[in-house]
Amino acid sequence: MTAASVTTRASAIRRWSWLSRPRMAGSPAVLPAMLSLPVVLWQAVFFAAPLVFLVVVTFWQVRSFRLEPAFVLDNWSRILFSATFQRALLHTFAVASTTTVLAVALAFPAAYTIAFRLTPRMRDLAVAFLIVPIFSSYMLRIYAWQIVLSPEGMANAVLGSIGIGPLPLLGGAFSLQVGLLTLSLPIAVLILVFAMAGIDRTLVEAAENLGCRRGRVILHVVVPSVRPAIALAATTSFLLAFGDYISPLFMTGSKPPTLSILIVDTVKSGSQWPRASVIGVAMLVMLALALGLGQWLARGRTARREDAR
Amino acid sequence: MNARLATRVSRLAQFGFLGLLFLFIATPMLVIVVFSFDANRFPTIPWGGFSLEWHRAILADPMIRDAFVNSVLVGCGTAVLSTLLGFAAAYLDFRYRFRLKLPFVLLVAVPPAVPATILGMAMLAFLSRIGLFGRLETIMACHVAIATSFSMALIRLRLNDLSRDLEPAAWNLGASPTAALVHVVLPFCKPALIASFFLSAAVSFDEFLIAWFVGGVHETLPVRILNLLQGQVNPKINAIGAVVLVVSVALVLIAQRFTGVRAGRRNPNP
Amino acid sequence: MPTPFIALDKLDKRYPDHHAVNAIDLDIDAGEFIAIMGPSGCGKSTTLRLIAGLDEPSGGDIRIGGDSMRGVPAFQRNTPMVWQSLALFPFLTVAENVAFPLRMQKVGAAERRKRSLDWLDRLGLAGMAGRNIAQLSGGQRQRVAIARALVTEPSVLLLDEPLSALDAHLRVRMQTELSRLHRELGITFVYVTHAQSEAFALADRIVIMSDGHIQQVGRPQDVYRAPANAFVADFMGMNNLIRGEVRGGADGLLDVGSTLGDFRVPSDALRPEGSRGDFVIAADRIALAPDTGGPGIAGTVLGLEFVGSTQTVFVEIEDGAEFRVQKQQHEIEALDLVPGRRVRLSWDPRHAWLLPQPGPMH
Repeated sequence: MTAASVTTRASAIRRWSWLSRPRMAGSPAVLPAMLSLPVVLWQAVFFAAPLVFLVVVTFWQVRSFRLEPAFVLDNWSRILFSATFQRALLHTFAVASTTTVLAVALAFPAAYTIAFRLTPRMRDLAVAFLIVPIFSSYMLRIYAWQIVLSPEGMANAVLGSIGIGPLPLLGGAFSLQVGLLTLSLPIAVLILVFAMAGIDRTLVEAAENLGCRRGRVILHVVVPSVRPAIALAATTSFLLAFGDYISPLFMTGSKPPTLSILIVDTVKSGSQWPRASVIGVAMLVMLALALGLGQWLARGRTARREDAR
Repeated sequence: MNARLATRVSRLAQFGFLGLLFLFIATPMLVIVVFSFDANRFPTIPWGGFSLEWHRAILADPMIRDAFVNSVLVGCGTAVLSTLLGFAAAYLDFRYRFRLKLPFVLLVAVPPAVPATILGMAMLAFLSRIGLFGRLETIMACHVAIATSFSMALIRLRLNDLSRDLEPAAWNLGASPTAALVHVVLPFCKPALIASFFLSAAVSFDEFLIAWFVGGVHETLPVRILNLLQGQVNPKINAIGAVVLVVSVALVLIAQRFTGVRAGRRNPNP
Repeated sequence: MPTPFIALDKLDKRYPDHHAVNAIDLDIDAGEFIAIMGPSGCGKSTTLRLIAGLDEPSGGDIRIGGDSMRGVPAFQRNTPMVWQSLALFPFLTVAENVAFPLRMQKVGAAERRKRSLDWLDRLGLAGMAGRNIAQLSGGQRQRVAIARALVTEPSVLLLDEPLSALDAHLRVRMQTELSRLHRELGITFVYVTHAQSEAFALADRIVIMSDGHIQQVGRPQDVYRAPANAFVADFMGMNNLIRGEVRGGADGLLDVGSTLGDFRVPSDALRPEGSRGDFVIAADRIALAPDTGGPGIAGTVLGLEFVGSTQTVFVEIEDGAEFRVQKQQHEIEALDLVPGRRVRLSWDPRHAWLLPQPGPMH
């Protein structure tokens, strides 16, 4: 190509380039707008707007079984001061906290073994094994626990063969925790495995060589390095357990009800949308507080360490 | 050698604990599959012998067939759309700096963190007011809103490995920004796009609360199961359960096959 | 007078934190091989990216073939570049990589295949067409990158430190290759490098940049023998700078006084007494002898460094500065230079080079 042909090419280009001036660097552009518009619209309509509407509905009124726009605080006061709601809130909070403690306590040693004791190949397999249940058939797995824990189920058959039982395994706090741990444990373990796999192994080995007992290595090397992950695992477990509907439904028969059960019952019982919405918004506020607390715990320590340095 | 013995015992305890934990995670899945082949009407021990009776029964049940077809349609639609939207979101986050980036990323990333009960109720309340209640497309649209979070994460992870020079090199060689996106960024992200497709399908195939809230008369397979579970004990449940389990595990495993996600390192060329 | 093929006109690029390219002017002729050199961060790569349209200038203009590139996006400039990172597409085969620019120009598949195979052949990559990039050696990848840049037969090729990833002997072979391609194609090469040896071996003219400014443009030997200022003298490495003040002069020779003594320095024009008289003396123009007094300056040997058949002797002189003296191996064997030995440095005054003006640096 000669210089002349470059010239014609360049001037031909200039003639139409005002139509769509593509961004190379720094200039405003059509492409990002075209990419962002569908996803922003989609998430706005099918995610953000429903949640905003949920908040709006809490101030609306139901008249002769019809939802009408209004601005009343009646729904809030009725729900927040009702004994049913308060009991359910306390119960849900206690259940979710128990799950959180159990999930982190059980996940930590398991993650430690996966991260530090398994070969890389086995570690990858363990991770794959943990990812599968997160995305598959939680409801069915709870149903399976129902079968296993029922009075004539496998668990009692096994216990019976060694002379125990039959125990009333289903329908209480124990079965509820089994259900909620089925939901949260794989995620908690995964979060901690990823964090621990990121720890410099030489750090751990160095501490061991310096004569640190394993317990002290874990306490002084591993725990501080994965503190944010512990906070994340804890908040995730809390979030899942707090909002879950399936385990309370199938493992305890909704007795006593959790907040999720209360929401579905309120919705199903007819037209009490505003009150169900109040429960939903209250739950979201609690979850936001829990997330904030988790963030604060994770970041607060780090910041303090930075300050000390 | 006391120390060595202590180490042995400690290792044994660690692996034993891990084994129990894995057993805890695996048990429910195994139970579903095993009992789906049980000839007994009720899932109890002892096992009543091998039978395909219940698998045949679900094939004959039109409601289950319809629910399965619905699930497949919703799942495929969700997979395609959330992969596209997830790619757009991930690429925007990777390539551009803009003022509203944090709200944008949160808008895409947060939905799975909202309890499905609340989200389902909110979606039902809002979407029924704008006339979208009770459609298969609505179930899909809501699933997309959730699954896009996962696709964005998967694709964003892949984009981390895209050399910063590759796109400018394509422009330099005559590709317009759009052509570079199609001919360079998309092919580079192919493994993550496949993974995202299957993972989104799995998310949709597994979701029941939102589908139950917004679907109206249209039942997806998990909703059908939920309704069966709330009725009388039905031996078909184990058979459908086994099918659903196998499908969703397969979807997740295929998705995993195409991600470079590993603990402690990422595979640059999966 | 022919217009230059590429003209940079007050070309400017500012970033929030620094001024990468500061209103530079540069004319590049058609078919010229020009090398832009400078320390890292001097603005040489930014200049190249501005020519390619990968960055937008903050001011000034670029003309290619007399035509302003203002508003012309990168993908319509046909100014292909060979990247330091090579930027080959890992998901395409060798042939597909080379054919990529043709595909973007909507050239038909058969034609694409023919032309890309031609170029692979031309760069000694026949038979590699179907391979993956990951299967190639560093040198082969380099050739693929060059073939990909040349397949559209552009009138200019931009190269951004293309050889820096290669090991030494491959680098020399690729230099020869690039030289051959430039001769055969007769197109303009703009070559950014920090390696003096590459620029000297390849370029018709070199451009020295620092801090976003062009310090000097000229043929390599001119820039080496006649640096425009102290920065260039220092950057070329093998120059020793003596700062001084003009004390007088006649017959094309100035008298320059400095802390190291009085020197005579050739000059075309007289300078007023008391003005700056900084000059450089190239390392290979200095004679070394045992210090027995006499003309020149005395110093102490600090150490020696082998560079091929020559040796560089580092000498600390009286005011604490370090001088470099370059000698053939056999020339200094007799001197028995060990660190600490006193030596005397002298040179023919005609070889000293008076800096045209006080440098903007220091």
